[in-house]
Amino acid sequence: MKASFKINRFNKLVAKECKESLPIVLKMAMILSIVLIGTWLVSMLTSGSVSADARYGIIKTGMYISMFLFPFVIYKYVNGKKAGVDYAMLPVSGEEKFLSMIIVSSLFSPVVILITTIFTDVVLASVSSQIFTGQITGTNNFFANLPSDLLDMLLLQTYAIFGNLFFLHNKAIKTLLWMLVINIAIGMMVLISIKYMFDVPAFENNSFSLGVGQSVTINGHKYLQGMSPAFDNLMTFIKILMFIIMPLALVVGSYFRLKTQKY
Amino acid sequence: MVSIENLSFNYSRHIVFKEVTMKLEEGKIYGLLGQNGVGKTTLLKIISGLLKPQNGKVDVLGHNPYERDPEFLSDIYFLPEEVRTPDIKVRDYALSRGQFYPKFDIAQFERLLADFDVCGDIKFNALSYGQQKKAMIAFALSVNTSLILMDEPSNGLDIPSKTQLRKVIAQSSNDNVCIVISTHQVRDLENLIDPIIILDRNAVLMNASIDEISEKLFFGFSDKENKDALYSEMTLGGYLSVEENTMNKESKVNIEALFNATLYNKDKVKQLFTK
Repeated sequence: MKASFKINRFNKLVAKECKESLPIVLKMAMILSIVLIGTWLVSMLTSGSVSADARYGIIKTGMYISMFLFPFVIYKYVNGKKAGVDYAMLPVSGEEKFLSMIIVSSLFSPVVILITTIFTDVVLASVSSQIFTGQITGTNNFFANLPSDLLDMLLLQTYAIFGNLFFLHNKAIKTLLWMLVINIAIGMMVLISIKYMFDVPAFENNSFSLGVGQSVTINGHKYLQGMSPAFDNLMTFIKILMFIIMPLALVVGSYFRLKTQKY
Repeated sequence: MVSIENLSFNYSRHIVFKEVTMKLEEGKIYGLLGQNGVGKTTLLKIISGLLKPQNGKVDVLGHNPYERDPEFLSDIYFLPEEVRTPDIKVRDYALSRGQFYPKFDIAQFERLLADFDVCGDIKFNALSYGQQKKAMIAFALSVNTSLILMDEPSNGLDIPSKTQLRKVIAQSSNDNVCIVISTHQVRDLENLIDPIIILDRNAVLMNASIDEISEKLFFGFSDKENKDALYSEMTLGGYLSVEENTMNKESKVNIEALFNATLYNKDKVKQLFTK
């Protein structure tokens, strides 16, 4: 009988991949810690101070970048015609490989980076509370924003995982371009829908911004939820599309890409 | 062990195999020969499930290889020509991968490393290409899978290592194992590979044991060139020729001459060995 998922085999795989990716993840954590130390040094030299909220912003930005880059640096080889053979021939199932990839990219690596950078920040804030004012974990923002920020990072990572499996070269750049194309396409869709919904006269010299699922601003005119049932439906559709359909499609697509990859 | 029926495969417009049929059995060390680009690596990749055939049936160890079931993967090892390894110690590599192969033997791996004179405590990136290759050959043989596929294993090895390679492959061979070695360098593996498979564009020209070959072909030396021979070349010891063995004479198969004779007389050889 075929057994595509065996917990013992899966545990071994996760342990192996965590162990092999740890040096790379630690390097990225070190870079982020160096950024914090650099900020601390500059503030010390300029007799300035950095609030906990500002430092949270630095860590959050670093985390966004790291989360996007994890699949490209840890699993860059998986679809390589030559480099990917070792991975493809490993006696574990596609399901186990994919789940392990998700765990390492979306759980293990961010946790290592978060712990390392928060530890660095706590140490620096403890050493000189006048430079790094307040503890980052002591702010309300930290616990209030972290879960939703992490969720956003995970959504971003679904694009990176897919791009890493789909593209062979210049994976990160191509993924960013591809994300840009998707966002432009969604923006265009919203713009055209609103044009017909509110009978907007002309689309020349437009400025346009879309607050996902909440508001749309065209030429300074803000369209908010509650303005019309059709607009509310459009916003709900955009939310479902960007937060449910797209990530799910990317995850499912990534899984099948990995399973059917040819070398 | 491996059954291929009517296999067709192409890379976009380039046809590699067209309705190829062959069988590989356990207890043998197959030598897979062919000119550049005839599909030796492609065939190994199809058998190992890295490529999907467009048509035909491929059955390896009772599995469809392209499904890449863990049970299938744990009983087959494919050693590519160009090895790419993570930057970890050789022993760590073997232990981390070996745990997924039920018959992996770490003591055997250490023995083979010692035979090849490779240190297991060094990271792959600190080893030369030849040493990396030897470490990977040691791993390939110590996982003890039923099917071992090796693509140009002697490439990048020095002369003593090639001798060692022949020795360790011969030692690893038993009645339950099938080893397929694709190579350009037939002299490196002479006296080891039997049967011989010769691939040509789109087809298999020959899949025959050394006994069958010497039964059907005669390899001999003479002072004069034999114009009727399938193949003849001037060597230091005179003219080496390959002829049809109509007199049932015994001779030692020269694989390089066999390969050349087959290339120059494709139809004739194919006809001889499909009788």
